[in-house]
Parts: sequence; structure tokens; C-alpha cells
Amino acid sequence: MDVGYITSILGFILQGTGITLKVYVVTIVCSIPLGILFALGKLCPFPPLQYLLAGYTWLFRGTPLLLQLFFAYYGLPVFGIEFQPLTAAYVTFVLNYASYFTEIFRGGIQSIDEGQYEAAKALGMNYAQTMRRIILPQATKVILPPMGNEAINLIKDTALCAALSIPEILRNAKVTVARDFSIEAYFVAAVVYLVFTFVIIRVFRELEKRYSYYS
Amino acid sequence: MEIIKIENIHKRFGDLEVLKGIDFVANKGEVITIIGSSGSGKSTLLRCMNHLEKADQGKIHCDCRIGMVFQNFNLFPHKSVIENLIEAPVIVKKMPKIKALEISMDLLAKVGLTDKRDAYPCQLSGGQKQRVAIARALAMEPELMLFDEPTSALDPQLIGEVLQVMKKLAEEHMTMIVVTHEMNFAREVSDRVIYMDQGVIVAEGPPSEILVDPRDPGLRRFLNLTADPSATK
Repeated sequence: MDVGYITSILGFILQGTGITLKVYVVTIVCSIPLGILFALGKLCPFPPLQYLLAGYTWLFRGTPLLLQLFFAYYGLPVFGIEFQPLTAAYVTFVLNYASYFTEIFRGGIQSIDEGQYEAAKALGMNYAQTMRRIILPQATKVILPPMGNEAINLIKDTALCAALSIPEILRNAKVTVARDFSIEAYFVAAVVYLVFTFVIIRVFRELEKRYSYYS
Repeated sequence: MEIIKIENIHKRFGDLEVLKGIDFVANKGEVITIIGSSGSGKSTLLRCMNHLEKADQGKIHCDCRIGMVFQNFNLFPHKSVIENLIEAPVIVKKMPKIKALEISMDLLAKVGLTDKRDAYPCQLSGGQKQRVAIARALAMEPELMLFDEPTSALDPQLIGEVLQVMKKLAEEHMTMIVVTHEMNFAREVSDRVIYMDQGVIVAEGPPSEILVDPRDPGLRRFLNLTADPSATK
């Protein structure tokens, strides 16, 4: 491997990390609260809302993320909705990941013992207080491992943005490969993703440790 | 003075009618034990009193604060002992934290667990957990305490410490309604014993009458079955 060549293409590929991280952060920041909200909605004893949310999670978990991206960018203009490629990616990623988070949170909330609700109710706590103070903090501990999986999936899924020519890591690597007829750029991209996943794994290990004070 | 009055309560779970018209009054300062075999509806009756179960029919008159102690403790596992105690006073009553801590430390002293203030529930024995649960309920300064089989999930050697705390409460004239299988507690501590069978109150009266000289043949059979000379005093 030619170190000089790799150094020369590194800057361009790393430029892509800006966009990758933007998509990553926007997705995490928006889809987690959305997922909590939808999970609470799914547990709400109001059938129309349950059906609506069941349809939503089925649609977004049941079709490929790449197809959803294409639909948001190429399909929605047919209905008069036009997005910039990056905006289309934000919308698609947030809705897609929120659908997975909805199911993860729903499972987490449902895993908490009924007695916790009863104790909170017997102490006079209302629904919001019970959720915020008693149920969700305990559910957080339960959902950390599956959330760690999703957090790792997401960093890799951001590479799908390349399909809309959004200049993220993989797209820049691909451009480099096409220009130089040399596949080293793909190795560089792989290493960058590995560094990100390493950090994410570390963050979740730390979070799990922080929640291990009780069992 | 009546603290809670229940009129003609009915409750069914599907096809099963668990409570078939219960009338019941508890007076301030009274200690009432409810006995009966499993499935007699005694826990359901207790849970109707603080609206953990919604009665299908009938009325519950009570405008006092009710505290409850559960068979399985139901402590908040993610909170330390002291956090369990101050949670409701601070969040529900909006009590200043300093004041809630003060009250809670007094209550921990009362149940003999001052040294466990920063422990988490998973670090406590069953008896300690239940004593914390009693203190947590008391932190809301209830006027009526409901105990739903508070010693049924405990190892025999841990039952005594919980009953002792309850006895102390009774001596302080806390109004208490206790669903229990502890016949010695019912005999020694309660002012009134209620015997339930298949969703109705079959017999009701002072322990000397109900437990010592029962007239109802069903109750007599029940007492013979539960009679256990080795039971905790």
C-alpha cells in the first residue's frame, strides 16, 4: 500500500465524515424522542392510534431503507413534495429509525413489572410522573443493549446516502476509486467506519456500566 | 368516626365474580384484619379501596389519604432507600426536599433501617424491603394504611420484623386494614376480624369472637387448616 497516496486521498474522504455525522446526530436526536412518544402511543388504550402506529412501524420496518430514500427523493416530487437530497435523507432516516426505536421502547416499557405502576399509583403519582420518574428510567436500562445495536447499524446505514449522491464517507470514497482506478479509498472508508463503531461500542459499554448500580 | 365506607361493591374479572356485594366500614384508629382462603376476594377488596381495581358496582366513600403496602414490596429498584421514601412527597406533594429528607430519616429510624438509607433495594433482605415499603407509604402521611399480605413473600424468619413494625403502627393508632394469613397478628393486634369466602363477608367481629369461638362452619374449617402452632408470634 502506498502511504503517500493514502495520505493524499484521506482529506477528501474525511470531508465526508461531516455529512455522515450530521445524518447520524440528526437521526439519533430526533428519532429517540419520537420513538418514546410512539411507544407510549402504542401502549395507549385507544385503538385508532394503535392501528395507525402499527401501520407506521410495519411500513418503515417492512421496506428497505434504500427504497424509502429513493421514494423520499424521487417519489415524493410526484405528490408535489420536493426535498434536497440531504433533507430527504434526514426525513427518511428519522422516520425509519423511530420505527425501530418505537418497538424497542415498547418492549422496554412492557418489561417493567405491573407492581411498579401500582406502587406509583398508590403513592398518588399521575401517569406523566410515573412514566418519567419510575418506568422510563428502568426501561432505559433494559433497552441499552438493543439500542447499542441500532446505534451501530445507523452509522453503517448512513452510507446509503451515497445513493442520492450525498457527499458522505462512502460517496467520497467511491468518487476517489472511480477517479484513480484504485480501490484503496474503500479500505480507508472501512477504517473510518470501524473507528466510529469502536467509539459507539465504548459509549454504550460506559452507559451500561452506569446503569449497573442496581439489578 | 368513619374513615372509609364501602357500599355494595361488586367486582368481576370476566365470568368470575370476585366480590359479590361487600358492605364495610372502617373507623379512625381501628385495626382490621381480613382473613380468608386464596380467591376469597380479600385482596381485590383492598385494591378497590384505593382504586387499583375499579369496582363494577357500588360506592366507596373516603376522602382520606391512603397508603398501601404490597406483598411483593414494589420498591423502585433504580432508586436508593432514601430516594424511594422522598419520591412521592417531593414529586406529588411538592414538599421541599429538605423537609422530605427529614421526615424520611425519622421514618427510617422508626422501621430500624437508618443505616440503609443509601442502599438499593436489591441489597436488602425481604424483611428490610418490606420495612422500607412501609416507611415509603408512611412518608405520604396517610390516614389509612392498607396491607396486602405484607408477609406472604417473606422467609419465615423475616416475618417477625415486619409484624413488629406493623404492631408499633397499630399502637400509635394508625388506621390499618390488613389482609393476612398471620392468625397470631390478627388475634393480638386487630380490633376487628373480617372473614371472607367466595366474594362475601361471612363473619365479622372482635378476634375473641371470630378466631377463638367461630360459629360459621366454613370459618371453623378455615381456622383449623391455618392453625399452625409454630407460627411467628
